[in-house]
Amino acid sequence: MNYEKIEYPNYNLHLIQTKKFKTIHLLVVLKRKLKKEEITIRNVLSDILLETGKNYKTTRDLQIAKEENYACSLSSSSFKSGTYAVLSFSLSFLNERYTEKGMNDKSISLLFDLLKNPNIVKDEFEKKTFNYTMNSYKDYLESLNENPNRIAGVRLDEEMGKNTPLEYHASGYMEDFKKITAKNLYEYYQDVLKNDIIDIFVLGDYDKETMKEKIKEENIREEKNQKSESHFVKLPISKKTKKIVEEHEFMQSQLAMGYKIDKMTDFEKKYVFHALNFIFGGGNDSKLFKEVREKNSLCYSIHSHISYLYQTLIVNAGISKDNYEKTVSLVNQELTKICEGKFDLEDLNEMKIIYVNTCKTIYDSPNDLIRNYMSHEYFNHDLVEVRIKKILEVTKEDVIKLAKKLKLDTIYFLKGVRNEETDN
Amino acid sequence: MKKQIIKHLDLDLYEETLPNGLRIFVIPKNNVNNVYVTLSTKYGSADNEFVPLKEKDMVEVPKGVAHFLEHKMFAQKDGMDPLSFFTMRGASGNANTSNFKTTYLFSGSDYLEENLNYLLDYVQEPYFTLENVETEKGIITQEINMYKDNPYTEAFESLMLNCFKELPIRYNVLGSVDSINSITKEDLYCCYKTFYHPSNMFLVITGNVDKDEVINIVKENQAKKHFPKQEKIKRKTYKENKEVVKKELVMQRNIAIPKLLLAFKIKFDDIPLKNRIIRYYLSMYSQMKFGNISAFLDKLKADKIITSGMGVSLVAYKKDAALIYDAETYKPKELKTRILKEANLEGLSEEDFERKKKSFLASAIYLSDNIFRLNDKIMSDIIEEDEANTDVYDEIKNLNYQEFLKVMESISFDNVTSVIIKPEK
Repeated sequence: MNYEKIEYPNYNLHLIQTKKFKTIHLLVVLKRKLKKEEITIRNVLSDILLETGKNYKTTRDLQIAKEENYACSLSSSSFKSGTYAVLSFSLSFLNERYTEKGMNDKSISLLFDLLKNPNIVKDEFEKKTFNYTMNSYKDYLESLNENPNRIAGVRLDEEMGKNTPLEYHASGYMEDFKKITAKNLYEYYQDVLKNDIIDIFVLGDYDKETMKEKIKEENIREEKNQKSESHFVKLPISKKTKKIVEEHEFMQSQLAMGYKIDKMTDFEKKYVFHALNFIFGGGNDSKLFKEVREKNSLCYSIHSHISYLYQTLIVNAGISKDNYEKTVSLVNQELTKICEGKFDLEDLNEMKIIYVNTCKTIYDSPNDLIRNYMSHEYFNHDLVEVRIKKILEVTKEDVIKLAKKLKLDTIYFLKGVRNEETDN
Repeated sequence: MKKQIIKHLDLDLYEETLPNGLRIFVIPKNNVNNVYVTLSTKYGSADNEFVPLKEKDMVEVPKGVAHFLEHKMFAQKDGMDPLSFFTMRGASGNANTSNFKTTYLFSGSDYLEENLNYLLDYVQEPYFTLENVETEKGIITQEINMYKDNPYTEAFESLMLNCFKELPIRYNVLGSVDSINSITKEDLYCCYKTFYHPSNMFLVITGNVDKDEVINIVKENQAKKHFPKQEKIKRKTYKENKEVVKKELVMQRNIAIPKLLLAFKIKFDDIPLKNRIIRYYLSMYSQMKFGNISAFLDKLKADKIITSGMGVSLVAYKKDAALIYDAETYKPKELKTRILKEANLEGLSEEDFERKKKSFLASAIYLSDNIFRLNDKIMSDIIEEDEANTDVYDEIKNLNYQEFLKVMESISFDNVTSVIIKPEK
């Protein structure tokens, strides 16, 4: 594998060369500092740009073009990444060695064509595509409340991240949605193309000079690329734990417990935090899984996950409403055990073995590999080679020390009030 | 050891059958790090009526036993949780149950010999006690309730019940709270002894392995174990009517946008082609007429009948199948009428067909790059045809428009069932 980053004045190009795959992957990333009122319009952009184009007037036309490029796949996403809002467009296609000569260029051009030549009529997005995209997005916004797990997650974020990007809904807002017109959407997109920071990642088996030339030829923009700043978010730390109970028409109840950590060293953030989470609730046979699910049969699912950018640890459990108190006290009890050092060194070693193995499988997945370089670029995360070594340095004392820093910030309980089917 | 070349995809497949009947399939792929190993029994939720090993009469077991059994295989006598075993060796383990098979699996590149031996050992050594069977009922009840909170899953279950009268695929894999609560330890052992015999099982290994080495590990492992001789398992055979059970169902749930699920019940007893080929044609038909590429879908969007795409899927049991469409729509009745009207051979073109073929070919190549999908493909080949298909590329290349039209002409679209989910209030 060979990696090179080239900083052109108007974009950064990241070339990752590997002979492992029969496919070539391209990722175009556009990002700017996150503003709440821009989340919704960016989400709509992410949907509309791959729906049709100036040269592909209908979904059907675009679908046909993709099939002609040997079913190349195009996808987009719009997401929050700490202090930044990110729009990404990805393309993957079969290396022309497996199809026909010239197909590499053709497929790459298809993606850039869609980005540079959106379906614009008289300075606004073409009405049919616009209406369709807007309707779909509206339905999406309206259907969000069907998922109990999501509701619990969003409500917890709101409570934990007051006045920070954490409280913003990545899915967007109805009130902002109503302000979007075919005209201001296009104006906003022009602004995105001019002012967002652009990174382009290309992974696969290709000739470096030819690829550089090809991307240059596509000329995504003239404007200068700005410098990227930190993605990390500093959350306010409060002394007391907030407890919130809300009711909903579900059978199952959702419990979410959010912990914060005030200060972490770079090593803690990147490695010890992983180890702690794994032992506590992240792994397949974590303390929480064993105690709450296996031993006490209180839930079907329980797990914890951490956020590197917000420095939070979240425990999620799907439980029956009568088990709320019992589950919370068991979760607390398990964390206390870790703080007291009551866990086996074996658990830590196991975590290291898994971490290393997961790192190795990153090499097998083109998307994971791109993400590896992306998080290196954006969050200063170490590359896989370094991670594999560093994780081995985590000690039991490190884990205990970090566990003691965890502060239970909020307990959110979504109480399901639809009748359950019972055992008898 | 039998070697076959998977043509045009730079891969070889090695197959070996052991004296006890266990079949092993290996596809080495040495440019990746990972290894994916699956051990499957040809036994799923659809195998509910059968003659138990060494008995004479057909029995019926409670629905959901196959999935229950899968969960219970994780209880081991020594108290070791198999998932932890794999985790501690840098691998990740899992299991799943479908209508036709139950699979135990792990992936991970280190400690291969230990992990492979362990996979065979824990699946071949059941430990069911009264107590652990009871605990499991609580866990699976929660799992069933979790799925019940998803209106789409619930609607899909009703659709299957309304479509098929006899075929066991009409029931969901998990069973119901009542049926799983009636499961006994004896049911589990009965199913286990019948279906977990090596001659009903197969192992598929894809990834960075040496074929001789892995086959030897399995051989040595199996040589140490003794299994009673097994006759061919007698499963109940089913005869399914042409007609659906119930034509229409409307339910109200806590959702924002109404949904329509519609199934054409299809029989292809009389078509002299492999099921797999017929299925290619059916899904091509579905995609050309109703998928992203169809003029039909463009029109639906323009007329604001649907707001996002339409899901297209196929559920099949030997020569019976359901061709299923689902979409969110504010006008479910109108959408249904339009789909029924569109289910014909008009508007199909050879040009569209050839382009679809191109994308089917491409997906065969994509698949060959991914050890997980590759393994899945071999498993489903074994379940459906009892042999691995190494001809996939040419098979797709040889699909032809005239044959396609002939197949589609002989299929009747007269039997339809639908479920509409409406918002409450």
